[in-house]
Amino acid sequence: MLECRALTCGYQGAQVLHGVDLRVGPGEVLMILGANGAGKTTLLRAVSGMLPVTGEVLLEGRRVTNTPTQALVRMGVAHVPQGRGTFQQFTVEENLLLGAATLRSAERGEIPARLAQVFELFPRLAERLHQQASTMSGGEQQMLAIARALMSRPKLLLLDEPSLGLAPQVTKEVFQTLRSLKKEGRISMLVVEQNAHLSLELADRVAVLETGRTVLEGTPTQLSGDPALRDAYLGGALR
Amino acid sequence: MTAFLQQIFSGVATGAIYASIGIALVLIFRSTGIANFAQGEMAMFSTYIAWQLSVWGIPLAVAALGGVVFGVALGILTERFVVRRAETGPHLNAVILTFGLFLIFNQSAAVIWHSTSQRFPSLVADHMWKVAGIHVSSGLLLMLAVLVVESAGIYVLLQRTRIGLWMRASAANPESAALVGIDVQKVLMLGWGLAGGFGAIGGILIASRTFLEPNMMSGVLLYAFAAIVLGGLTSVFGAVVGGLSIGVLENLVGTYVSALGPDLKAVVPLAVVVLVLLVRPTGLFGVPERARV
Repeated sequence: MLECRALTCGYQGAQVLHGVDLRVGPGEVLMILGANGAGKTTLLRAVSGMLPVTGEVLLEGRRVTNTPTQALVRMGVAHVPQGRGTFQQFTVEENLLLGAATLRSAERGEIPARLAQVFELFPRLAERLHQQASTMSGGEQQMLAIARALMSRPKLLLLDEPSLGLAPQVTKEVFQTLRSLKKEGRISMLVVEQNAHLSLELADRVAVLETGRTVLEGTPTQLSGDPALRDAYLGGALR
Repeated sequence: MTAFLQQIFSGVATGAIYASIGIALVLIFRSTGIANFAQGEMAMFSTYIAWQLSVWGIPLAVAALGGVVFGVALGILTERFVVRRAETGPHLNAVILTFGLFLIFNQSAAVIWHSTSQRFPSLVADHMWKVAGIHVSSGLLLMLAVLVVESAGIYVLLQRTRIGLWMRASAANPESAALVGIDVQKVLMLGWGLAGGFGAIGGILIASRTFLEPNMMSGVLLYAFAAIVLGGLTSVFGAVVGGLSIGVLENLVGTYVSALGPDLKAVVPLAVVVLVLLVRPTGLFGVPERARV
């Protein structure tokens, strides 16, 4: 689905990624682990065309390096950024309709079906349809952000710390939804997450990012068996 | 009392002009954060195009439409080829750029059509009614009608259509807009085009009420800026309310404050700007900008 080869990227003068290689297969969930400042958020931004990169980004085998963000969305990439990126002053309904912005006029008849599908995953959003996004709780806003991303029927979902700032119970709910989404098998995910415990249940594979390089890759079982790694990145969460 | 009402009514009519230029300024400011000082000159240039077309024998309604279409095209081209280069830098660059555009349009008009003022034909047959002692001319009614249609049109566009939702989204959060697949740059271009069109409508209305000459917009632009500062910079509704208020205030001060009189009434919009910025910097309908830290 997604492949990055020797991806490098940075912000004005400061190189953040020094050659990242990774691969996400169809229907697969790859989790990125790494300390603060390792370049996790930058990696997601690089993949979704928000930063100029060198190296190669392949989407379903097609070279999409430095394709503008909005074009990548049309190719099936949906990115839920850190801080959620919802439109705060807009209603839930408007946010969801914006999620379907890539639909051509002829396909707009699909919108009700897509809304219904999203409400099945997040029933609470249906109740809040006309509420302004900024008035909702953090958890509801995160659900809205994911729901909005799903409105474009993505093939690849990029999630940047979906648990950030959420209460543990709410985080659990969000991850439950992500697991049921994964079970449907239509969507690949690249997830950056600090909450190792929950993410390891979700992930098929884990890649560890250290100062802008992928230093380790494996299945959750392989990695959680590595004591050094467990102490460094998992905070002993799996003990 | 009748005289007072008459002054208010003419004030509303003048205010309608400030409002239509104000709407154009707001459309650009809310999406790009740029105060477009060339807005008035773009409107003046488009008005000259309409006038030129009518001089060439094209029926006035078609010529006016031509001027508006030209205004839209001028807005789009200005964004695409000039302003876009400054959009990523500090805002001051873009603002200075619009000053440059101001000079270019102003001087080009003077070179092409000379600085002597031209009479712009009236858009409707002159007629005067007397309603409850107040004189109401067909020209004034047209102006109010255009303002109502303009405001309603923008409201429907922004609140009820898909492209309007995209425009609001791009203005509110460009990064998130790109993440849902909106081509923000194209939306900005469209915003400049719309502003160019609304500006042209304003210019044609002014010219048909007064006269046409390269410097005709400099005063109007000042009043329009005062109007949107009063209305809150980002609100189209605020631009309309602000424009009408400034128009009425200007007229009343010009008539009843003999110390200022018609000659010094230009102080009014400036005083309003200072007052608003001191007392309520967000204006009547503005939303305070929150920076995420």
